[in-house]
Amino acid sequence: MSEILSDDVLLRVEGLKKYFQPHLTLAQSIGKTKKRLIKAVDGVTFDIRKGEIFGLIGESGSGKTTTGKLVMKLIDPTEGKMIFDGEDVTSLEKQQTKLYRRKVQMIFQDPYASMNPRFKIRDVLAEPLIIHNIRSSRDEREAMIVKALEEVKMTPPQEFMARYPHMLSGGQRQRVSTARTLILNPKMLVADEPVSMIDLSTRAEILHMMKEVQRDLGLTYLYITHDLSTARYFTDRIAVMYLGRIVEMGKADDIIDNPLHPYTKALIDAVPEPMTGKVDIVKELPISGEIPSPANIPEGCRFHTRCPYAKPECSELPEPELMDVGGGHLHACRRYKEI
Amino acid sequence: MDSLLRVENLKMYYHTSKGAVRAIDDISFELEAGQTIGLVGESGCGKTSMGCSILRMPTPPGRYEGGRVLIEGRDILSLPEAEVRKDIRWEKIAMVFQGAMNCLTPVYTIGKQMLETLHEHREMDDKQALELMTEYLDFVGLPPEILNRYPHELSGGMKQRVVIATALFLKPRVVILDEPTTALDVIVQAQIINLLKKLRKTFNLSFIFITHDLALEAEIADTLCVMYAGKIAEIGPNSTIYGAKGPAHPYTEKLLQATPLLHKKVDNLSFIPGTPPDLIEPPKGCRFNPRCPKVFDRCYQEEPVLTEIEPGHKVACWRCSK
Repeated sequence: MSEILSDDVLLRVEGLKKYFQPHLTLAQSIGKTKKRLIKAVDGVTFDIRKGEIFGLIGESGSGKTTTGKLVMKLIDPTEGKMIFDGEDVTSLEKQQTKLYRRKVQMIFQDPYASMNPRFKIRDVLAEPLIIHNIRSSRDEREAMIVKALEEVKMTPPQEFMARYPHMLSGGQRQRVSTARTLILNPKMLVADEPVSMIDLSTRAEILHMMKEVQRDLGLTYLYITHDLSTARYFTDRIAVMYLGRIVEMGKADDIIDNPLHPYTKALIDAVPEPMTGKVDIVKELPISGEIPSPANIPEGCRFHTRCPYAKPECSELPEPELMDVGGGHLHACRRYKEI
Repeated sequence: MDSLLRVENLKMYYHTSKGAVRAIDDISFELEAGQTIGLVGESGCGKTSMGCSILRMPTPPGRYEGGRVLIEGRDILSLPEAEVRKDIRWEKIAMVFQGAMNCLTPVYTIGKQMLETLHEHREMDDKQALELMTEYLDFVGLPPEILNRYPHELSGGMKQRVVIATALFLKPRVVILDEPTTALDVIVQAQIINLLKKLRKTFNLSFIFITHDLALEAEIADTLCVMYAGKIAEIGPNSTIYGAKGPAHPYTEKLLQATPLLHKKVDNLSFIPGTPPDLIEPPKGCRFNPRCPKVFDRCYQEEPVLTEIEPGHKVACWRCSK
């Protein structure tokens, strides 16, 4: 694999894998039962370009959050490589990891649980500065906090800085979370379901704010979600994950208007839309059942157990790799032409 | 003919140390057999309080401050608790609570938990109970082996099916579903919605479907009831609100615009600025006035009355009533 990256790729992930050891009972660990690894992420490859919003979509259990954690370096990969800004960051020393995390920051799902309730907003925002030993003087810190709050349109900042998290609404907290990541001047933000716990009326407001910040500061986002509708609105490119692998990847519009993989099609069909005349209709669902366990991944194409178009060859032949159909639209279904 | 369920001028306030929170403030609606009414609104608008109030179990410190809840013509608010337990709760009206799938006790098997509900209400031996449980599990598409499983062995969708089966046991007429699919994936969500539609037909059930997702409501609700700050802002048929005509209340309009559409590319989604009002001291006049884009003088002085603008479509907005 080439070490040289084209200038516009910020993060390259190559064949990334993360296997977890299952918890065994004493009898199991002594006995001869074969250990079944939980393959949460099983060979994922993608590029995130500078200034792009990249969406990672999937059901629960698809490995999207684990991928996010790997990118954040909260856990170490079992196999594979990560190149960030031209540097190999797959295995870093503790000190280097700290530096890496200054460049890659995370926005968490739950704006209620991700802030210490005893901290004022000022302290919430000062914490990353203290952890990373930036700007020792109080005045300098204060100025940075004010700037970060202004970036997320929390005005007047002085008023919010004196408040406690419980005095803010869910939307305002998510703004503070964003400000907390911005204060370190990161290059990339990993946002794991940042709006799933926020009311519909303010959801659009938060996404809009995140998009503005991204444009103003030239940031790159990895947006992890299960919600295709917000992904279409928010992202430039989408990768659809199923059982730890990417099954389709391409421009957001291409994926949603012209899905090639049967799993993507099923996901799109299942999304409800605000239109009348559907109350008495039982929706035809192309796929049934639920996602299999990542400890027991089906042979061949891992989707064949739920795929409505599966033929014997799908389970017999080795797993299909991602194929390019042009325009950067990739998919992993060998029978895509027939369906 | 009386409606199956009729809520008349219901008021339920939470009495806190800071004053009374008017979570449900003068709400009336009717529900016919086999129909589904969808309650939508932002968090804190009183949707869940409404569900609990219909079951006559307001969460403390909530208390009824007036109004009636009639099921088959019987007012349940004036009945003694023992009678509500015996005749109404779960017998006539059942509820699937929010996050119900996490409400299953981890230490009992599914069978034991389902049996508990049955024994409380019916005299029957274990064999009969087992038959009944198997029958209802079959209705929701689960095999009988589930009875010996523990909740952690099931997926979210399966747990939700178990909870729905348990709610249907005693053949209620009305089932209140509070955000039944919120924690589930889209495909499982669509499966559950299909299941609910089938059950509604088989048992001629009436649903009160509570959610914040307007798109989901379009799939299941015959009538849509939009709540804002403890009051009904708009109530109307599915075909009007989602149809060509569209909603009449600016709040419903805004909520619909804020719902992202999958098949339409938009550059900017609209949103509703501000937050829902404090229900201890709601704004004078229309409660939506601080956030309304179409506000005018009258909205600050008088509270709008829910008025019928066409058959079956009521709106509480000064802009709509002439």
